This record gives sequence, structure tokens and C-alpha cells, in this order.
Amino acid sequence: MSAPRTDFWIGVGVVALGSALALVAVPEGVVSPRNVRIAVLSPAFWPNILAWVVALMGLVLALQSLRPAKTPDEPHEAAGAMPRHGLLRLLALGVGSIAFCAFATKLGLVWASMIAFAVVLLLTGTSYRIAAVVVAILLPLALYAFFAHVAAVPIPQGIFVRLP
Amino acid sequence: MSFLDSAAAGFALVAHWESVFYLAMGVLVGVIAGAVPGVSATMAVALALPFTFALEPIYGILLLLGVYKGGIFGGSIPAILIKTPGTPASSATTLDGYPMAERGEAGRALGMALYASCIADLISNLSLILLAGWLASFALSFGPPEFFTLILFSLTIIAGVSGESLVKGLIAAASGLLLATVGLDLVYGTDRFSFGDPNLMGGLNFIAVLIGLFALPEIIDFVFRPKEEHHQARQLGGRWATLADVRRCLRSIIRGSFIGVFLGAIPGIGGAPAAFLSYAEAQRNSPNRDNFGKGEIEGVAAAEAGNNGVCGATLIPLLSLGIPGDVITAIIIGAFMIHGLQPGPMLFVTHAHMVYALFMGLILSSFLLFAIGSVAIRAFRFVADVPKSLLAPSVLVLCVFGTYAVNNTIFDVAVMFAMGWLGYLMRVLKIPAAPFLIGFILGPLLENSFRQAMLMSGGSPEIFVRGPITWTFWALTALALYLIVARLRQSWRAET
Amino acid sequence: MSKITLGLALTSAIALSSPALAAYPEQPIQLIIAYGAGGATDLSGRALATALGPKVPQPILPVNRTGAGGATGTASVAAAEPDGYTMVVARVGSHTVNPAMKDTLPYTLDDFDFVAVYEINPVACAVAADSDIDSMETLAARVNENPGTVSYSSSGVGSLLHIAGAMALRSFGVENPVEAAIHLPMAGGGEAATAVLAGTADFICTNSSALSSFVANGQLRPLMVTTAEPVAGFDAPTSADLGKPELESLVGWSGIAGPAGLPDEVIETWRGWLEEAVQDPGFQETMDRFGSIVDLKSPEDSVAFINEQYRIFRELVDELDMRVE
Repeated sequence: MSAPRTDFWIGVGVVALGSALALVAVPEGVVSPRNVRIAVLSPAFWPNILAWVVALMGLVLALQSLRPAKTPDEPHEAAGAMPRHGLLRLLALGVGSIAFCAFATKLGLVWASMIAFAVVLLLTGTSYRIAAVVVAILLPLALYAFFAHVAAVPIPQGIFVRLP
Repeated sequence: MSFLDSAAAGFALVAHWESVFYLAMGVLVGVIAGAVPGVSATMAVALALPFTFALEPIYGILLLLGVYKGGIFGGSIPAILIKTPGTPASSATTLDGYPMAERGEAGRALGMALYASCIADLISNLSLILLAGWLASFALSFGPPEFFTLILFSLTIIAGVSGESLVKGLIAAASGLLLATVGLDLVYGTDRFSFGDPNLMGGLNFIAVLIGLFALPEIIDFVFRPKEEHHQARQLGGRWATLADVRRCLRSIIRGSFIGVFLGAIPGIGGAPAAFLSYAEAQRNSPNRDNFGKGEIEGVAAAEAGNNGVCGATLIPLLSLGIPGDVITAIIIGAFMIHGLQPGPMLFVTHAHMVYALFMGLILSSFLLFAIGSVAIRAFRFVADVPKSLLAPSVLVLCVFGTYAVNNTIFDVAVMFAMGWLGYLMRVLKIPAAPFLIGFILGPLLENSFRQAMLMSGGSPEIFVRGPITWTFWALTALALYLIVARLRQSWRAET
Repeated sequence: MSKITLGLALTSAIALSSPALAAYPEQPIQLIIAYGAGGATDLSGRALATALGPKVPQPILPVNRTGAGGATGTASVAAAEPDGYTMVVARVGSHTVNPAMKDTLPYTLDDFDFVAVYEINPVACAVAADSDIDSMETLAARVNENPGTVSYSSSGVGSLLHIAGAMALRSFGVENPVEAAIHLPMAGGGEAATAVLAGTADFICTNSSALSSFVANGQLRPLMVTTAEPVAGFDAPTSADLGKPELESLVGWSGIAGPAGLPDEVIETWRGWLEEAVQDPGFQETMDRFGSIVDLKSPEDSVAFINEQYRIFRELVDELDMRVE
């Protein structure tokens, strides 16, 4: 897909997003009291304007991309090629981040971080295996020591193993 | 007591090894804390506060000021090395600092950040000493309408950080402004997009959004495309910022310092907008305009000058009016009061020697910052040599701990992840992240001052042109818009 | 991976080998502060935690969890386990004004067990030093003569400042202060005071501690304090002098509370700690400097005090239709 084509679809998507915000999210999500005397002071006034600005800018972007582009050929970015299993890894990372938020406090932030570290390592691979294992264990422990004992931040310990 | 007597008494108060010691300790603690993402300068100052209870007032306050200055500079270290602003004020530093690090010029970027920070710090302190009275009365004439026009003008910097497509920048900025409306409504206290969730009622945490938006897309991209490690030698490069570099950027540094002083003196704005404004102004005036955002050293210099220029200047409203310019100075006011000192105009009468002692300590702090900063840079530079396959998960864990620590809730970590994916999507679609962040920072200031002004005037828009300050900012906004349109037309002509 | 498991096993062995303590507290206690660093609640809570430090066998960790005018942090405590390891610095804003004004609040007073109220802050009303308003009567008359021109600043909807301005005007004869005076919400207490200083707002009613330095510096002029006794440094009549003793319920306070269902043991232990802490000279001195009065109320008195203040605010909110749905 060439850049103008991509921009066209981004524009369409942004128009859809902005309209959805203005037509659905603002009326549903913003509570306006009944006794607003000055219209511009309504809690929904500002979000409404912004949502429409988003939609309008999406429209401008879409129209702009239709303009016959005489841009000297876009520098062809080699990055366009899809890496093997790239999307699969992204999916794994996404699931991982959700799981992290769901279980980190139960498990303890230190242990969850070690697992997160390991998962990212497994996804990307590394040529520094020993260093990786050392860092995976020591970094969360060091951060725990710093935050809990120097910065006095209660780091969640989880229900399994408590650290001093 | 005459000026000389006060000054002499002040000198007697500050000329002890303890004052240098506590100031240096403060700067050191600040630099380290600032370098840990999530531990903002604010948090570091709040943590240091209890330690000052037992100290002599002058030492205690110097310690806190040291933490403050060190923290603001320290934030630039991870901003440059791992694209994770250590404190919000250093987010503008990532724009050019990180590309420089990618190119193997981390040492040069860090050195420039230090030079710019220290020069700006010195200028800021001198402005405090020389211009405090004048700037304080100026700050007091900033009511909501003046504030609104100032923030509106600041929004024109979006054009400078939008990169290739202004329209995409505007989309990002409007989305950032919109995201900032989540939470309780200021005027009516009703829910906005919070759907009864107490976490959302407070709005999205600034630091969670910041870290998510800047640091995480980098990690996600690396997971998507892990092989690049071997192509890309991310080394320090032996190069340090040279005097020639500093001379080239000096105009931007000085301009940025004064922008910082100006914005710092007005309560309620803070370091991040100052850094972005300074950055945008530098870009507007630089011959290397097109290189900004791709690793231009002048961008680093301007951003750091802007945020450190704020430091000394926030003490202007604090000392001369007794009002806090931001959260950090609010804590420092607490420290004054714990020691039985009441900041405000009377302080110059009742405790003049104390004020002069502070001034001398502040001047000293600029030099201490330089000395300690140079050491810190050398200590932290090794981060740039860590292979990316180890760096990426480490940064992830660091971000998780840092974000958690801000409010002690896992909700913020979830916000950070969500913002990370949003940032990644924007990156893929080539929508710039900086305007989004600027919108998110300035959104509440813009909306609140607008609505406060409308409350004051009972709905009449005339209040927005009520005096010379508002006219000035309207004129500046118009000028900035004119320049943006002129440049757009120029580039259109060049195309067709 | 096996090394990670090994590490886990090792560290768990270390953790388990430490002697188990039977009595409360056997781990650090989080003291949630629902307001930002540097504010009155924060300073009070941190001063208390500092004073408790040497008296409590486990660390007490003050945690700022801010947002939504104190609702975010307070709600998180209401939802926490009532095991005594998550406590909150209860405050007038989060525990009486907010519940009285907001129906949508994600907690109610019943979600908390109160240990005690330990500190009282008088409330003062003030104007800028160069203002021509010289008394509460003049102020009320000004509001009545020119409705919609006089404004007062606050730190947001549902803050003590919000209700205090309305309550003070009403008791001085302004029939409907919500309509007649402009409420100007600012982003925080410091900004609210600044607004009066800069002339953006005409008056402010807030804790005397937030105003004391401005009053001492001659930048703000107090019109009234709401205690029975005069407040040091405030050259202004008390509400009793002005014949409005009902305004005495308008005071700020801080206390300690936990999620409803706290074991008696926890409440008792905390009572003991608080009794020791309020004797601490350092704590007393700090509170004194902020213009607060250390006043440890018994558990029954504390609950009665909070409920009474809630009732009075609730009535006012209903009469003036200040409710936030």
C-alpha cells in the first residue's frame, strides 16, 4: 500500500472514531447537570468540540490523500517487510500485558516482573543467555529493594512469597 | 539592616561546609531519583522532606532545592538513553535525545543536556535574584483569561512537533486534549468518561500516560522486529559535547532559559510546557529546522534549557508572594513552614539574611549540578552499551515499578500498557506522539482557565480581551499561525 | 528458566525463615493519603507517621493516592481488606463534604470504621488586603445587592472550601448563595488562595493553616474564624462574636479510619498509638506551626462528630440544591 492510500484509510478511521465519540461516547459518558445556565460551561461542551475536531481532521486527512500527489517518490522504507511471526509475537505480548495487570498484585510485583522479563526474552531471543537470567532475577529484586526500603513505596508482595 | 549587612549575615549563614554538603547530597539524590522513571522530581522532594525536619532551616531548604534541580536534570538521562522521560519535564528531551543515542551519540546528547541545564539553571537563579519583584507582580496579573490566551499560544507549538503531516499532528493533539477530559468535571463535579470507576474519576495519571506513550512502543516494536540488534551498534561513541556544540546552541539555550524563567514565574504551568515551548521556538529559528526530531543536538539543548530554566523561577512566586508555582514548590513551602518561616514579602524583612543565604546557595547549586551531573553521566552511560535484547525487558520492568510507585496502584500500570499499545498504533500509522502528549498536558490548563474565565464573566467572551497581556498573546498566536500557514504554502508550492 | 525457579526457592526460603509474629502488626502498614503531596492532609498524615515511627514495630508507609478530590484514594481503602494494613487519613473533604454532596461517590460513610479524629483545623474567611470589604456583613450585603458579581474560590467541587463559602454567606443572610455568588473552582488549595491574592476571586473560606502565611504577610485580611476561641495570628472576630455559633460546625479535621469491619484488636492498637503520638512534642510542634489544634477524640465522640457534621452539610446541600448527581 502506498502512503497516500494508507493515509486515506487512516482519515476514514479517524472520522469514524471522532463521530463515534461525539455521537455515542460523549452523550453516554459525560453527565451534565440539569441546571447549566451558561451553555459553554456544560461538562459536555469541550469534549464535544474536541470529538468533532478529531472527525474533521480525519476528513481533511482523507481528502488530502486524494490530492494527486506529485511528491517525489517516498523514500522506500525497507521496514515494510513483515518479520516472521511478528504479529504472533505482538499478540503474545498483548495477552501477556493483560495477564500481567490481572495477576501482578496477587502474585507479587517482583515475581510477576521476573516472569514478564522472561516472556519478553523468550519472544525476542537473545545471544546473552546467562546475563539475561542474572538480570531477570536481580533487576526486580534490586528495584524492590530500592522502592520498598529507600523510597518507602509498599510494593505488592502477593499471597505466596513475602520478601523482607 | 542594610543590604550589605543582610548579605554579610546571609554569607555567614551559608558559608559552612554543611550547606555545601547538604546541597550536594540533595543534587545527588535528585539526579539519581530523576534518572529512575516514575520517580519524578516531585516524588523525590516529597521523600526528602521528612529528613529536613531535624536540620537547620537553611540546610533543609538547600537540600530540597538540590533534590529539585538534580531531579529535573536527572530526568533527561533515561529520556536520552532509553526514551523514557525520568520526569515529565524531560519528555521534550526524548524527541532528539533518543535519536542521537540510537545513532551512537548518547555521550554527546547527555553532555549537551548537562551544559544546557546548568546554564539555564544559572540564568534562572540570577533572574530570581535580580527580577523577583518585577516578575512576581507580573505573575499576579495572570488570571484565568490571561492563562487561557497563554496556553492557546502554547498550543501552536504542535505545528513544530508534528513532523511530516500537520493534519496528523492535529489529530494527535485533539485526541490528547480529549483524553485529558477523563475524570471529574471541574465546575460541576460530574463524571466524564469515568463510568463510575473511582480510578477513572481521578483522570488518567500523567506519568503513566507519558511512560506508556514514549517508552513502550519502543519495546513493542523490538518484540515485533527483534533482529535489529545485530545491525545496530548502539554504542556511546567517545564523543562528548564540545565547546563548539555549546556555542552553536547558545542562542537556543539562552532563549530557552528565559522561556523557562517566564513560565516558571507564573504559577501553575511547570516544566514540561516550558521545555516544549523552548524546543518549538528553537526549531522555528534554527537553520537545521528539518533535522529536529531526528537527532538534532540543538533540540536537546533547547528542551533542557527550558525545563531547568523553570527551577529557579518557580521560587519567585514562592519567595516574594508565598504562593507555590507547582507541586514541588508547594512541598518546599511546607518545609519553610515547618521551620517557622512564612514565605512571602515579609520574609525579606524578617529573615533577610535567610533569603540572601538561599540566593547564594542557589548560585552554588548551579555549579554543583554541573560537577555531580558530569559524574552521573559517566556512571549512567554504560546503559547505552547494554544489548537491546536485555535492555528492552529491563526497561519494561523499570517502567512497571516506576509507574506503580506513582500512586501505588496497578491501575496506573494498566493505563501505561494501554497507552503503550496506542503509542505503537500511532507509530505504525505515522501519527506523531509528541502533539498527543502536549494536548494531554495542556488540555486541563486550557479547559479549566477557559471555564473559570467564563464563570467570572458570567458567560461574556469579552473577558478574553480584558487587558494588554491577553492582547499580546492573541497577537502572538496570530503571528504563529501566520508563520505556520506561510510555511505550509511554501512547501505546497515546492511540491506542485 | 531453572535458575529462576532456583532463585524463587532460595528467596522463599529466606522469607519463610524469619520468625512469624502473631500480633498485629506483622507487616508494614499503608497509610493512604487521598490528597496530594504538600497539602494539609499530606503534611498531617506524614507528621503523624513520623511521630508513630519509633512507637510502632512495623513501618507506617504514607502513600499519596490522589484524584477526584480525594475520592480515588478513599474509595480504594473502602474496597480494601479490613485487616488493618490499609488505613486512610480521613479528612473533612473526603469523609463529610464529599459524601454529603455527591450521590455518585463510590463509597459511603458506612464503608469505614473510624479509629479517631486527632486534629482540628479552624476555618477562616478572608479577602485580599486591598479589598474594600471589611466584614462578613459587608460581604453578605455586597452579594445581596449585586447578585452574580461576588466570587469565592475553592479547591474544587465537594471540597471544604466549596461548602464553607456557601455556608458562611447563608448564615449572614444571603438567601441563595449558590445563585447569588459565583463559585470559582481552582485546581487545588494553593491556587484557590492565589486567586484571592490576584483578585480573580473576591473571598475564600478555608482552613486557617492555608491562609496563615498570607495573613501574616499582610496579603490577605481575615474577616472571621469559625472557632469559639480566637485563632492566634488572625485578627478577626470569631463566629460566636458575630452571633453565628452555628458556624462552629464548619471546621476541618483529620482522623484515622480503615475499611469497615476492622478487628477490635486493630482499632485498640491504633488508639494506643495515637494516644502516644499526640503526646509527642515534635508532632505537637509541627501541628502548631500549621495552625492545627491537636485534639484526640474518643472513638464514640469521633463518630458522633463526623456524623453530626455530615448531617449539617447534608441539610445545607439539600436546601441549596448543591447536590451532584
